[in-house]
Amino acid sequence: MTEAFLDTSVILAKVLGLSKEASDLFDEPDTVLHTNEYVLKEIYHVLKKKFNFTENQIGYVMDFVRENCIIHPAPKREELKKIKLTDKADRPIVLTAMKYGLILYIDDERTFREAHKYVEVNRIWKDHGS
Amino acid sequence: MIPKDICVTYVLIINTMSNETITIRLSPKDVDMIDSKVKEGHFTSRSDLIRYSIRHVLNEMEVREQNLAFLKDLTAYKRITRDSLRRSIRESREEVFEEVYGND
Repeated sequence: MTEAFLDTSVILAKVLGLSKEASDLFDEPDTVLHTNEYVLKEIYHVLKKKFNFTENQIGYVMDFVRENCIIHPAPKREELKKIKLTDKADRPIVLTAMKYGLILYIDDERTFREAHKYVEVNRIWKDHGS
Repeated sequence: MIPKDICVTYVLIINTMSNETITIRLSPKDVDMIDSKVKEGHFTSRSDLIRYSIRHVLNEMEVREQNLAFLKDLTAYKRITRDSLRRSIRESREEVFEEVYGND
């Protein structure tokens, strides 16, 4: 049984139909999917402010995530001090995976390299075409 | 496989419209809940409630699949790519971090 923590990039790649690998992860019967409230906030922010999705459309995405993933709370501010990453904004993602002993699935080269210090990390795809 | 000590043992026979019969196993708790809804008059029988529940779940799943298909079409229409998604997440991450944790 694999316990996977999904970063925003993986979830959005799945729901927007941008990655077969992300889709496959959701169909894997032996994988339990986790994410956190911080990722949900990011999903909302990206869809609303960057891609102008409506509240209804964002609701479809949120429903899908809540039905398919265990949602953990975002780490507390003082907990963030436990890890050091070049981009401080990655800490709530890496820290939750570390705290619950989950394998982090991500699509960000820099975070992928740095998060290795704290958690097991997988990238869902290696080619970086569009 | 349901462990025997917590599982039960009511067997329900459902006659479908084509007279096909299926057997399901339910916990006593679920059976009690079904019976109370039938007793309250929301359904005419256990089978009526179960048929309704199955139709409801299947409809919900179909709606969800349609919503996801719609999101994929919308993504293509808005010309969102994996690269633009990565960039947008990176930009949003800074803003969301400040929103949640303030200036750390």
